[in-house]
This record gives sequence, C-alpha cells and structure tokens, in this order.
Amino acid sequence: MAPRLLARTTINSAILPMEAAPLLEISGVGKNYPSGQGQINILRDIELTIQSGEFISFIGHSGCGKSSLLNMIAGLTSISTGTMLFDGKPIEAPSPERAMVFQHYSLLPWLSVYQNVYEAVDSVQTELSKAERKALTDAVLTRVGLSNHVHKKPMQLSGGMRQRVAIARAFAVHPRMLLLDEPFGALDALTRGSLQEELLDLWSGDARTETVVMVTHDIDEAIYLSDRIVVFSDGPSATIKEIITVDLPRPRDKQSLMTSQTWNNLRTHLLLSLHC
Amino acid sequence: MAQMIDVIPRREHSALTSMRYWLKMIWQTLNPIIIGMLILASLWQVAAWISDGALPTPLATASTLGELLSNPFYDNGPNDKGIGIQLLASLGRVFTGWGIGIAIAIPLGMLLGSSARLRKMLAPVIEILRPVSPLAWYPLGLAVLHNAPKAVVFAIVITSLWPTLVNTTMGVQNIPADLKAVSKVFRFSRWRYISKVLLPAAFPAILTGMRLSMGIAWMVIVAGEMLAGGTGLGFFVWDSWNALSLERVMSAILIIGITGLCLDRVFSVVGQRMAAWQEGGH
Repeated sequence: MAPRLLARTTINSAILPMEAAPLLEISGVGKNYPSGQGQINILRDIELTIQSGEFISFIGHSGCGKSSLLNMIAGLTSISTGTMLFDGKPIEAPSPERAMVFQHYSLLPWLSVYQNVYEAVDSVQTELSKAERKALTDAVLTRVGLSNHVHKKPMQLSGGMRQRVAIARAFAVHPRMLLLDEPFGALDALTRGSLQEELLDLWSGDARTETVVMVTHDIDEAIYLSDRIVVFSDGPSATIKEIITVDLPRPRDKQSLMTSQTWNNLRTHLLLSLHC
Repeated sequence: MAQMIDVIPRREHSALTSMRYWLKMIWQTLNPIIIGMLILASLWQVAAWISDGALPTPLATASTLGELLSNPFYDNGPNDKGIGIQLLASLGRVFTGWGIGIAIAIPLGMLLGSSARLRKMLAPVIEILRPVSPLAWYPLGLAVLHNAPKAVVFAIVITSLWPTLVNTTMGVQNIPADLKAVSKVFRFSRWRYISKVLLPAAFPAILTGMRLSMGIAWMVIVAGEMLAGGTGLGFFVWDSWNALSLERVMSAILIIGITGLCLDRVFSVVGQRMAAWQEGGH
C-alpha cells in the first residue's frame, strides 16, 4: 500500500488541481550501468510528464540514452535514481499496458503471422472467450492490411510487413501506452512514409490506446507524428535538452505541411538543437 | 508451320537433356564417394600385405561380410547368433541409454541456461564428471544394478548426456534478449515461454547436442559390450577375436561404422527439415 499512498500525495501536490492526473510522471530519473571498477552514468535528471492522449517523440544522437529511457518506461530496465509513476503507481515490471514495438520487429520466427499476434492476445486478453480472441487477432491483422499473409512466416515477409505484424501485436493487447523503439529505422523511405500514416490511423482510430511514446532519429518523422518532441543532449550523462511543442492541427496532411512555415521553423530549430 | 516443326525436336531435346543432367548429377555425387572408398580399400590392401597375412584383405572380409549378411537373424543358442540380432541388441541399448540421457540432459540444460547461479554451482561438477572414461562407470553400474547389460546402458547414459546438456545450456543462454523482452511485455506464462520461445529458439543447439550424444553412445556400446558379453556387436567383435576370425572382426567394424553414419545422417536430415520449416518452408 505504501507506494500507492506516495503516488496520491504526488498527485495532490500538483499545482493545478483541475488538471487531469498525468499518465506518466518521470522525476529525477537517472541511469547508471556498471562498467569496469565503477559505474558509468547514461542518463541524469530526467523530468517529464506525459498526459493521456499525447504522442511524444524522443530524439537525439546515438548513445544519448533515449532507448534506455524507453526501456525503463517499459519496465524492462530498472531506474537507478528518481521515480517513475505510471497511472500513479511505480513501474516495477513490464506490462502489456505499456506494449512495445521493437526496432528489429522481435517476431517469433517459428510462428506464423497469425500465431505471433494470437499468442500475445491469448496471453493478455484473458477476459475474452477463445472465439473473441481469434476474432480480435483477425481484426487487427486486417487493419494493418495483412489478412492475405496470416499463414506466412516472418522470414517470408518484407521488413515493412514484419513491422506491421509487430504493430498489430502491440495494438491487439489494447495498451494504454504504446512504446515504439525506432520502429521505422530499418525501413526504406517509401515504406517508412506509409507506415507512419498507418500508425497515425491506428492511433486515432483506437480509443483504448491514447498515448504513444516513440524513439526516432528522423526529424521529419518526429514533427509529422508528435504533439511534443523531447530532445536529448549527447551522452554519456545525457539529459533532456528541451521539449518542443508541435503546434500543427490534426489530422495532418504531410504534403501541405511540409511546405508550411511552421514545419520549416520546427525543422530548422530541431536541426540546430541537435547539432550544437 | 515453321514454328510447329520447331517445337517437336525441342521437346525431345529437353527430355534428353534432363536425363543427361540427372545422370551427371548422380555421377558427380557418387564420384568422390567411390574414389574415397577405393583409397580406403587400397590402403587396407597395402596394410594387409605389410602385416603378412595377420590382417585380412578387403576381398576376404567382403566374402565373410556377405556370409554374415546372407543369414543375419539365425539363432543357435547363446554363443552363436546372427549379426542382425547382435546389431539390434546393440541398437536397443544405445537408444535406451541415449534416451534416458537426453531426458535428463534437456530439462537440466534448460534450467542451467536460464540461471547463471545454477550454472556457477554446477559447472565444477560437470567439468569433473564429463571427461571420465565411459568404462570407469561400468563397475559402478554393475555394483548398483547387478546386471551386465544394464550396467552398459548406465555407462551410456552417464557418458552420452554431456553434449546434450552443454548444448542445451548454451542454446537457452543465447536466446535473443529481444525475444525474452517480448515474452515479458506480453506477460507470457512460464509454459507459453517454454513452448513458444525457449524450445524453438534452442532447438538447433539441442539437436546438435543430441547428435553428438548419439555419436558417443555408439562409441561406448562396443566397448561396454566387450566387457559385458552376452549379445551385441561389441560381444561379437570380442567373440570373433577369441575365435581368431579377423574377417569377422573387420566385418563388424564396417557394420559399426556404417550404422554410426546412418544414425548421424538422420540427425542431419531432421536438422535441415526443421531449419527449412522455421523459415517458412514445409
């Protein structure tokens, strides 16, 4: 019960009582890894609050610890200092509430496309009947356009299709927060573009998965998808350099946006921020 | 019309080409094997000449082998049985010992692969027991089991389980971190993790271990049966030596070698099939 009480105190001490409780509250978080005799500091003093319904991107150079932070939110890596509260409770272990899409797809190569999604659904959606679990698996695979490939093995699919399976698997467990670790980094530019749109489609079309946190290297991708962009300073001992609000209305049309002044300003700002 | 005329000879031509192609393929596969066998036979022949008749020639052995194989399942009492009966007796013990061995080694290897603590605890035990000669275990088995053939099986169990144990441990240890993360994020139960992630991921390594274990079991059986007597190829070799029939000894060696080769091929084929299946073939 102790952590729960602690969480409530934190929420009550919020400055604006009218504001909804944040979905994720990161304060004073740091990460050290053991190295040789001592420890090496990867991240320090991370302060970040994410509201329900936001699309957040983490951007920064390689080795700045943005993926480490995502893994800590997932519960796959422990934090060294500070507190990290999800829905008011400390994050202690991985959970399907924070489903993750990995950079290298992480599909089980010996299972078919269908089975890859079904095993996750079957494991998590325990309140559904067997028929409902199957129907849900079929539905998400149809939504990502893979209904004709359900019996194939991941090795028989292109990179883009594999990542669609991984995204379908994550959405199928109805996470409250979706975590994406450079999901389109290994894909060609054309495939990346269409998957970005599909991701926005899925996100806006699914009332249950409101919040997305994505790690990316790609400035355009970050602007196109995000509500806020979290810029990391260079590692080691990286921290948040600045948080940029993307004030572009949704639904966003990529073609008209890319010629707009706001887009160009954001782009220039991010480029300068990442180069200094 | 010109086109139609053109079609007919082309078909015949392609049928002929395909037959030639297959003959060529068969020849190319068999050619090195035949040459290899001829080299072995010539070396053997030379050795037979040098030994001045102590070692039987390939031809004399071949004729004895032919005799043995012409009536493999005759049974004239405890000391005179066909080579087929001896082979089956040996195979039965090998599969029993190997089966018990891998039934111990695979689950234990899965535990060791999952727990660094357990690995540290058991590594010295394994390293001490692993290099012990198979025959050193035989008296122990005899003392406990009071039965010579069972003691041979015991020696096979305890010497053949190590490669499967070590390979299973390594296979489980090397499961990609991403796949473990997936199992955690989607909250896979222990059973779902074992059946859908751990076993398929470690399967190639486990199969390699089983193959090496089978090789050891087949080596141990001959030595064990020489000590145990009664039935089996090992007993047959020793019995033929006592009867001073080296043609029979050489024949038995050939049968042991070829059977070992066949057992190994089975694992190789299963491994290839499984790899193809994992990648989406059938």
